[in-house]
Amino acid sequence: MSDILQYGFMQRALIAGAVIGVICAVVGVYVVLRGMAFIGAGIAHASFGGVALGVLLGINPVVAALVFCLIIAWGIGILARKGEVREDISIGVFFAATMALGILVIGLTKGYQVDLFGYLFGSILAVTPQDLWISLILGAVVLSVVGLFFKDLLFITFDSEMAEVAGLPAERLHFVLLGLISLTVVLSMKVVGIILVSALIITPAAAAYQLTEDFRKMMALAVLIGVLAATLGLLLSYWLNTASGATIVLLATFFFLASVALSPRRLRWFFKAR
Amino acid sequence: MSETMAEAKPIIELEDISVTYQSHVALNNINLGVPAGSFLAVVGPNGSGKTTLLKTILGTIRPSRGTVRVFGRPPWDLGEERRRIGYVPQAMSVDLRFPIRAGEVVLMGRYGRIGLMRRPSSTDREAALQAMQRVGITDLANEPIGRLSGGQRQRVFVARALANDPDLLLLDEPTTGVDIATSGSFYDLLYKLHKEGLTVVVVSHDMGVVANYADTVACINQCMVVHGRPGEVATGEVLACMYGPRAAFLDHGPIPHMVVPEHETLDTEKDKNE
Repeated sequence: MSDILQYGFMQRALIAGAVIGVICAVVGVYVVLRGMAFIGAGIAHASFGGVALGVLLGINPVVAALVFCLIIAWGIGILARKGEVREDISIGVFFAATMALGILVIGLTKGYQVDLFGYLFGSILAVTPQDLWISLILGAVVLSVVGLFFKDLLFITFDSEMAEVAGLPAERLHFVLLGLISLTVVLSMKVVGIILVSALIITPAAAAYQLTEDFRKMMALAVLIGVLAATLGLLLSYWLNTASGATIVLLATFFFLASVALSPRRLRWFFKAR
Repeated sequence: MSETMAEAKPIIELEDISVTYQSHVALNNINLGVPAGSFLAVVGPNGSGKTTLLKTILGTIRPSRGTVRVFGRPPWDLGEERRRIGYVPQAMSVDLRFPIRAGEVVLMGRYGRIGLMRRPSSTDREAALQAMQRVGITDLANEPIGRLSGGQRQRVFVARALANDPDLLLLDEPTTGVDIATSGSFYDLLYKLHKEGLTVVVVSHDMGVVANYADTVACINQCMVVHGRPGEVATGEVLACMYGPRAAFLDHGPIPHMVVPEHETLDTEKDKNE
């Protein structure tokens, strides 16, 4: 155990994994409770187009992906707000379109030797010191925004209509959440991979949802499950020589299934039925 | 508010209000004045525009024609005075599995007043506690909302509205899905609040119950059918206008009962809100 921690890449990956576990879980609580799972997946796939454009234009792929995700996320939000295109429809359109754009752009940049599999499926070897710093800074931004707007985000998540009636800017807070999802996707994609990042956002929160009826406890449990899945998943992927993102997500899924089996609600029902 | 003030100026004034969704007319030429301190029941069949009327008073729907004034101003332009309107939405509008406790839901009533990014103060907590005392649910503060009965949950939502110390309370079908005894004690509570000086406007499709409590009944079916004291409005003519010409009435007891031979006249109505 201690020997693998001597590798710089492993230290970076584990720190990045812990940060990702926390951020994905915190944002995931809102995504799960607001029923935004599909837009989370849509934003994650949009980041691929951003990465590819970044490579083509010689911009840092993480920065390019962030800008691209924000444009797509808020664009979908604006279309849905004006009632012109239903949200799930525009997600369905942009989900595939941004992936297609990414694939097209990669075809144009054949000369580049970029580990695209690192972005698509996650790789512990892919985390550079610069990536780690970007993850830490973006993670700090996400946590500060959640901390500042904690009660307001809770209100729009629980009852958006009442929040609006009470005079809170429910719509703008929804856009803040879309921005937080974009940041979370981008800071996670190096370790978990674009294809699987939405699972790491949703699964720990979904597991925590099974275990408690208190909002703060749900967030704390989601963070615990997210950090365990990300760090243990990284170590497992190192030992088993498997893709890090897939290992992390499958471990999180295992935690989710265990939570469903051990859910107090379900156990209560089970014993009542006896 | 004194009686003379109430007579001088109603706190809700609707003049020639029409609301149209695309080509569907939800409300047609409604005139209504609600004096301070009154208890108004708005009744009508499904799809008659009851909820639309409530949301017009609330200011979340703007009429396509006519003028609305609440406390002397358009309800979307009330600014700080908006707090004087308390709103209890339809029971089914929230996710009952949301991990949140009753006390926190009540405290949410203060979130708009507290403002973005600020934390609730001891004054806010005190106001929430007082609101829970007024509706008799202090012992439920730590219960997750999913474990409350339908009647208890509605009291939580009334307490949330009361936490802002409003002068006007709007309720949308507050007793849908609860049994008759619970519904009765809920209306007892509304009657108590009305006696404490609150102006109450409750939307219901259950004329039989609300007529026992309200001092004024407004029957609407797109247009205003009748507006007056409960004894005056429960006539065959009015019910025929509301429920179709083939409805028959059994006049025994204070409220006439109704027998409707065929339901297709009712079923052709589509209610957007249910």
